[in-house]
Amino acid sequence: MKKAKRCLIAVVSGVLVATAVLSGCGQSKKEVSKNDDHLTVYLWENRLMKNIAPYIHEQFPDQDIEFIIGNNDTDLYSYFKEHDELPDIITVRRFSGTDAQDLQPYLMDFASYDVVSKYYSYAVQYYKNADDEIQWLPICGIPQTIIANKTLFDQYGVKIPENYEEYVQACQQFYDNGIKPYSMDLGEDWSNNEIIQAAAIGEFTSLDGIEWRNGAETASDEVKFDDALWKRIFSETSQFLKDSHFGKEDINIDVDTGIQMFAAGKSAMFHGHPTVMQQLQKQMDAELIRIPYFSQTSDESYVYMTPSLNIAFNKNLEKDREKLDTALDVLDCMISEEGQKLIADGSGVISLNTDVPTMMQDVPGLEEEINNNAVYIRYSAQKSFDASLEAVQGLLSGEMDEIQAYDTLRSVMNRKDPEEKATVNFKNEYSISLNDRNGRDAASSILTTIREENEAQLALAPYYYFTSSMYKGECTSSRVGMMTAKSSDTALYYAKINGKQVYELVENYLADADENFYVTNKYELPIASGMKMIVNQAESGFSLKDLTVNDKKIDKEKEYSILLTDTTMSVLKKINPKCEIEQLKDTTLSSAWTKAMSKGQQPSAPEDYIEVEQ
Amino acid sequence: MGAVIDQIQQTYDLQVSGYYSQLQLVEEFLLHERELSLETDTNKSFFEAWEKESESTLIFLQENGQAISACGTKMRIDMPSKFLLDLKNGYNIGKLVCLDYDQKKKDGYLVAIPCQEYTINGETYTAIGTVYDHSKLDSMLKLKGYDGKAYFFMLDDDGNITYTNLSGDKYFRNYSLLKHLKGEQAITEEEADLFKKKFDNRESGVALLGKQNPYYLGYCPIESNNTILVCIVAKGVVDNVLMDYQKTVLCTTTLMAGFILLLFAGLFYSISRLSLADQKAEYEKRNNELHLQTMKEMEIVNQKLKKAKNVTTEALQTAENANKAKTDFLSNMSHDIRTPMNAIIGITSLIRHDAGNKAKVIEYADKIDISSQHLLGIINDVLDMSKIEAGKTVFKYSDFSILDFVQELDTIFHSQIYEKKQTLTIIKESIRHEWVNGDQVHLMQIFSNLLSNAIKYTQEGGKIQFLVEECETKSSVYAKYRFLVSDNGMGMSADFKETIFDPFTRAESSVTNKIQGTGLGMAITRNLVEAMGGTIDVESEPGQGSCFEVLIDLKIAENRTVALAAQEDERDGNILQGMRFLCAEDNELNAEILTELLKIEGAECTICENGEEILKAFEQSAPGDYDMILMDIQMPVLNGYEATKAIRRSSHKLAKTIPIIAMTANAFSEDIQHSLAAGMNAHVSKPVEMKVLEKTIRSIKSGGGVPNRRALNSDKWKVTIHKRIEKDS
Repeated sequence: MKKAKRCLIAVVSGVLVATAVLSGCGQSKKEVSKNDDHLTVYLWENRLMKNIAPYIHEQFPDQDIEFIIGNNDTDLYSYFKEHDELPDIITVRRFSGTDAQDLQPYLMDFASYDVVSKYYSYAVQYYKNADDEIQWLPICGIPQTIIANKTLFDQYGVKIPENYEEYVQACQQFYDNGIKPYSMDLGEDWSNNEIIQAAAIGEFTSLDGIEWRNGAETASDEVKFDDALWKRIFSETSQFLKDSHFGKEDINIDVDTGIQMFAAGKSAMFHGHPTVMQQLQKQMDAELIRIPYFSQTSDESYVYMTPSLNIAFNKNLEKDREKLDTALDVLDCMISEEGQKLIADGSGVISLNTDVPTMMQDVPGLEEEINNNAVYIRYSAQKSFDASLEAVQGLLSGEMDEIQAYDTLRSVMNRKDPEEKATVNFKNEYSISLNDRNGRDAASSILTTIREENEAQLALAPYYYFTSSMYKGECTSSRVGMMTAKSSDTALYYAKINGKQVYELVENYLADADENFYVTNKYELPIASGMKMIVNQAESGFSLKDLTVNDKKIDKEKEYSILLTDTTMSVLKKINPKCEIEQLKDTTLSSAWTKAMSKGQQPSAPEDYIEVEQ
Repeated sequence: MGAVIDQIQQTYDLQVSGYYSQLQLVEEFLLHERELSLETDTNKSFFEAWEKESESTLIFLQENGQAISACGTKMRIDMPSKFLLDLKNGYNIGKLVCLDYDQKKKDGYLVAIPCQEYTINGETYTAIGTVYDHSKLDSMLKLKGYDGKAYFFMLDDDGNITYTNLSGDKYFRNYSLLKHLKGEQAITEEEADLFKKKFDNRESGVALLGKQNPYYLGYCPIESNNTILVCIVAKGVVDNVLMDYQKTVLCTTTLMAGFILLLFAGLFYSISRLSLADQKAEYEKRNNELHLQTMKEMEIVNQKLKKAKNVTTEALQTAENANKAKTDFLSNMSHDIRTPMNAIIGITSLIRHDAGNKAKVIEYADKIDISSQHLLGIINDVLDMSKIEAGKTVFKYSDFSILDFVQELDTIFHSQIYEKKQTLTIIKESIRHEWVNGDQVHLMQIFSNLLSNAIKYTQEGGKIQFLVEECETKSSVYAKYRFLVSDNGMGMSADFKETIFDPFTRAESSVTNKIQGTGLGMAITRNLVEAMGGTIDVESEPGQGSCFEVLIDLKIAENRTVALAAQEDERDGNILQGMRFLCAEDNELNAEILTELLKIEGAECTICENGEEILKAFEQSAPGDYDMILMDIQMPVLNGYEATKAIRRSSHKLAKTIPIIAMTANAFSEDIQHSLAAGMNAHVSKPVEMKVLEKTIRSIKSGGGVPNRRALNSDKWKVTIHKRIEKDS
């Protein structure tokens, strides 16, 4: 009997060991991220997480779609591609064919699908690569124009300009009356990029300009420049700067300063897209009006425009027809009328696809240009921003003439990036995708690192500030910087609250994180550090079941220091208005992370911060 | 299948080439002045008529794709920039487009051609196009052979569809046929790559594809707008058609065979029914009848032969007369030509003798001038005559004032009248329509000839009258004019009056008479009058005088669209002063004369020997080196027309704008037309007279000179359209 019992134990043990061995070994390489069969969609801005992502979920409630935050350019996706983990759908704000070259072999060609025929030819003409493939598509054009203080114009008897000559006259009249004609934020790279293209918009929309742009977007090595064209462009840029009375002092005007000057009535014109204008209109008593950009070589005027986002699909989607259909449904949703309204926050859309009308009823002043289809999509290659900044500021400071400014732009555009040295060597890999407990290890590691650096006991942040997995090996500081949403960054806040308040904070966040934004699926669960959330998942949503610290229920009487972001801070403020909350000076989530990693230290290990019970 | 593809390709090519040709005519009609107004009544009527007739929408395109419709609505045509580049590089284009303007959407097939730059409301345009309804091309290309079950596409060199018979908005934009076929697994990746290569190489062919659902894919290049035609039809459809065809052929063959057999059977049967005796009698009877008939025919033939003989005799007589007249003419002509030539030769000897005497040299030069003008007149007469007889005279119609015309005649003959102490009375009666449309040059020739003869054949102190009268007519478009040239001179006999309009007829031989002339003048005059639809008659009594009456209808000029070449008074200052000319002249002597004449006027001149040299010189020059080009026409290596075309095509900044004046010995209006068509601005006849050159340059500088670069008969269009409008309204 004893012998039989021993045998049985031995067999069971053997089986158990074998099972343990088999489960632990045999996998040749453990993947950092598990995508399973669900669709992964990267949105470059967290505003999109709040407006279009919920709408897509509503349209396709049975589809398993994960939205993750990205950055405004393709560098993050290149990082993923190097580790064979390119997501299914990627989006960026700043796009150019040359920037996305390294991703070319991995992206799907939209030209084989009917969706591309929905687009106006002019909208996709710069999206064709050298192999005649259309791998990126623009979505939802947002007009960027001059915003003028009409009340100030009327006060000084200045005519609202309808062509370039009248614009020059208007600027002179304001200048003579001691009013700054245009407080453009020329301290910002995007404004310098805009000013060159807007000043010489007649050249960029000419056939020579179109030809140059086609070549620039498909350049595999250097971007070639048409000297005759670009000399004219810089001549017109220089002229525009002079006519607008821009000078050395404008180099230091950042976006806040520029807006403040305009809002205070110290300048007659600023610039921006419809949302900016609406915000300004709320703040100002004055009547505001839009002015398009005028050609200096004809009487034409144009709406300078940028797509809200540019989208591409992973080529692997074509191996799974069902997944591809879901992806195409997501795209159709984004370019639908409702989708574009949401993406633009309802404030003015220039539709780039023919089945959806342009919606500019709430954005008056551009009717003629819209009717004439006088729309220009900006050139937004990554290097063009720095190149424009250097060139324009060189002209403003007087250190460069037109030719020198052109040479500077050209050399910066074709500058080879110096090889960056690694600042950290990651010893472990952490994935941004959900683990088997519905937590994100990479996000947890980042948040915990920041929390510990700032000596807080707890931390709570939404999921949409964390973008990337951490891959084992050397990593440069620019790549470290990509791991948080630097395009949608948040300030950090420090508060001291008791356990009860912490519980209420987490509870409220799960129920109603933000106006119009709810945690509707496991992908949207927040990231916590220093504590563990036990969450109930029901049909109606998620609710907090319990909260533990160091494996014990949180002490509701005890005071805890907690690190918060904009969103979680505002939830706390709502439920506890009297709570003292301190904003960390000159610190954002991204800057705190990059600062921590600049010392070469390893990031904190991810925590087991969440458990979801069905 | 291949044959069907070829047929469609030819049909499409033909149709679309027709569209392009129509656009070229529209361009020539509307854009000859390079400034187009959309507001004028004439143009508005034209647009309306064109759009109604052609069932298309006319649009004017800028280089960057901005466009304006004929009704003045601005829009941007949404199409890939490669089409704009094609237009810029001189290619015609064709594409399905969607026009979105005036809150209306309109789909259609755009055909457009590049043009020389023109302006509308101050903005520059570079192409002209028109949008046809989609169905217009569909119905034309419908494949009856396949009961419309075939799908066809036109592809540009990127493989995107520019036209298809399939309906659907998606085909209008960015639709790559091969990629879609690949995506739908209708073709494999390898097949798609292979077809792409074939399309890029502009090959033709047919392939059978699709394993489970086989279909034919045929393709061939379309030359008129650089596209590829692709036709897709299910194999079953082709097979069915083939079977139907085979059945039809079999049925037809069987029927034909049956019919032939029946025919033979019938013949055999009818032959066998007739007996031999009956046949013999029948043959004899027929034989007699044939004999009688033959006799009659021979009689008729004899009569005809007699007649022919008479005609031949008469013809021989006429030929002998004509030959004599020609011999007389040649001897007269020979004398007439030799006389001034001898004078010229003689005078040049005198110049050599008196070279140091400036006054003498000038006198001799004047005499050479007179003789050479006279000689030129004789040559022109002879050439004009042969041209008229060959039916090659080209009439150039323009608006002019009858009153000014008469005044000009008065001016021309004033000095001759004065010298012979004669009186020229001009009478104008009942002129209700001063401005008419006609060939002023030839009319001038007619009345110059009549007045010249009147002066010639009237004694000193005689009287000559020139009457112009507008007669009653029922037409509201044409005015009837009666011209009378009458004198109290020597008159002519009745016999001579009968032959006065015949060529080579002269009252007396030039050898025995001081009055000179070719004897062609009246023949030319009559031919010109009749060619213009008029009549000429003469009444005359020997010793009493003669009266020539010309009746002619001239179109009333409602719109004076062509400004008269202003008879400018001499301005203060010399327009040639300081000008720099680039000249092409292959004859050394002519080149030397031209250089010296221009130098006297204060102008500079660079001479090139032929068209190739002048092209090089121009291309190597900087803008501003030359103000104008004077171009000889007949030159070795490269003639003036070709050189002009090459200059206009070149990339020099002034290629399209530098004025080019043709210099040519040929002065026929068709040569003028050739010059203008080649891109020249104006035309002066050789030998070049500085006054004429000045006048021409003035005209160019004041905006005239060019009118029709490729002027066909633009007035013909106006008449056609007006008539069409009258018919449709």
